[in-house]
Amino acid sequence: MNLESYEPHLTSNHLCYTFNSHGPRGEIQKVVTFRLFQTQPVVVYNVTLGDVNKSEIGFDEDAISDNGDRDKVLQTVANIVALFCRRHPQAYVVAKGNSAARNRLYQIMISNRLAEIEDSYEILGILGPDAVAFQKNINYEGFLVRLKREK
Amino acid sequence: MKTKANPPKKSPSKAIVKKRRKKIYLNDVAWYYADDPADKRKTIEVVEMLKKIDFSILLERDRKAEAQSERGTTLSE
Repeated sequence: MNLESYEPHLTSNHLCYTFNSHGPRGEIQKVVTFRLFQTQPVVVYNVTLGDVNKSEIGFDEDAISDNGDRDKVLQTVANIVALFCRRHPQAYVVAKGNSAARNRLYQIMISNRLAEIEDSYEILGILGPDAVAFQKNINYEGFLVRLKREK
Repeated sequence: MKTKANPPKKSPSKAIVKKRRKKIYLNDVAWYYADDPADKRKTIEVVEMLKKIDFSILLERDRKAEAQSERGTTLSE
């Protein structure tokens, strides 16, 4: 499945990627940021998506602007996470939506491409103390993804 | 007599002051910006979620996979 996505640009620190969303609201610059959240017992980076907010420092976290291109934006984020995982094969990337609805949206996106994702990546759903293999139709608190280890 | 023109000095009021944002650390690496309540909420939520996870199961599985691949390599040699 080859879904439409935007071309991402890697920033110099290798922890931020930017891309431009195009839609009825014009061109909106997006930023996908990876921040190290823990090093022990496993390395975990948190991923966030935001709009570059020109009036302030930083970005509007988790912004999915209503620019009519939600799926294309999320597909771009998925591609960026894949790039990051290849760059950091030992690390997990954690994703957690700001709300249950946002988590469900991520879940739908993952479910739609689960077979393809599982070919190269290990994807886990978080339920309390458990991080288990992702299954469709289960509501998770968050998600962990890592490049699959070669057998 | 010619005088050497000095470059105009920037008045202190016009100098660009880059505000350094204060970071609050929740562990040795995870931080949020003190002036960003949304960043604080999200960071605390995710760090708390990660703290609850029992990673020993994942580590054990990795160890087994590694041992298995080493055995496979030895057998094929």
